[in-house]
Amino acid sequence: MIALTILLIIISIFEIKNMLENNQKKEIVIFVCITIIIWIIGRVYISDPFRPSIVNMIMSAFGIQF
Amino acid sequence: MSQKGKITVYQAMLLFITATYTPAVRLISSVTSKEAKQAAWLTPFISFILFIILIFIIHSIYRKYKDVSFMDAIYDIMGSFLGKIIVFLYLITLIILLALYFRYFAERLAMSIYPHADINFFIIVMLGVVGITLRHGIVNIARMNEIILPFITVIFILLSLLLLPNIKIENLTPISYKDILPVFNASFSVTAIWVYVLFVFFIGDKIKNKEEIKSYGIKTGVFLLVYTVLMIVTSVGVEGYSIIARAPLSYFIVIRDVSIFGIIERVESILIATWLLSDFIIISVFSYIILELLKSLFNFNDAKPLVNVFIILLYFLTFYLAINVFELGAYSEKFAIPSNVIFGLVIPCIIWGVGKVRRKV
Repeated sequence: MIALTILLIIISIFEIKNMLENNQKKEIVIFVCITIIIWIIGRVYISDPFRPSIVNMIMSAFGIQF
Repeated sequence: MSQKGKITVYQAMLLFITATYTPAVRLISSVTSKEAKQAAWLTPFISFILFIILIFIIHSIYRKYKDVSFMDAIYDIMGSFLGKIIVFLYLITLIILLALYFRYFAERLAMSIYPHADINFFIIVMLGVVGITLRHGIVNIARMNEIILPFITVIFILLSLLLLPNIKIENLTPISYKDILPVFNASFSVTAIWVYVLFVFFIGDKIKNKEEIKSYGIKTGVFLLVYTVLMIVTSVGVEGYSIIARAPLSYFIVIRDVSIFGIIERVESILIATWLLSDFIIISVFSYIILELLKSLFNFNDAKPLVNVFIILLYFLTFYLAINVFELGAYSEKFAIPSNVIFGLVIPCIIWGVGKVRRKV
């Protein structure tokens, strides 16, 4: 989890620096939102890798037996 | 409009053909055999008709929207709000499909030649390669594919020729009127893969000479028809439908029995090489399309800043998608096939119909 957080922070600093140089302020906001979503997905997965999978959730939601 | 950084319709079709190879090898023979039994080899003919309809729809839409992406055409035809919802649904569908192909790529390697290997290694290596490729754009992927596709085609033809003497006609016959409905139902699995042509044309703004979509589309359809029929005929013809329907890697099992003059055996390793190349192309192309969808959805100027974080997202989704290969298989057969047909064929038909009514197409 710590590794994921550090990796995302390093990538974000690098990309945000490039975006600031190109004056892409709106992009920075969306980039940060996407990065936070990825961090949450990573955290959910790492906290319990054997929780019901995405496939399981989709199939259950549509009532498909497998 | 600048033609720099664009690929031709011909290159787009080549990308599409290579992208269909890996799911075709994995899925088509077994799923069609399960439904249509010995008549499975007839299923691509139904899919060919549906594919040509889809090509005509894409051609018709791009005749009006020459220099824009398919997403921009959707926004114009359906309206901005509804268009964004449709594009968002396509984004989710493609992300799940991509994670599926990524996981299959690693699982298949583990199942076929590296049974004790950690799939983490394969996934990280492929993610690194795809991450580097994505930064260089679609032109480089298309050029690379111009070398990869002939290699795959030559290997596929050679393997098929080697299998021809082993084909038993009784495995492919009898065919009667009772096979019409099973063949029709089974054809959805083939159609579900061939509709990827629409996903390739999502990046229509990166494709030039789009007036040739119809002509290249028909040629591509004929090529796909021939190679899919050949794949099913060699698989079902050699092993029989009951074995192929149950086998998780049906085509691999068929190729494993190939022997060249009784001297050279174990030629399946070359099939693995073609799988890897096709996996690389489908993963790169789908990743590129997803980044373009994100760019369109959030009005980005450039999708490159998203590449690195997208690679990390893909890593987690690949593992989070399914616990084991059985879940992947069940998802592919029971959900991905109908979902692909809906997103690849039904929704474009609706968009085209709305476009006709609103006189925008």
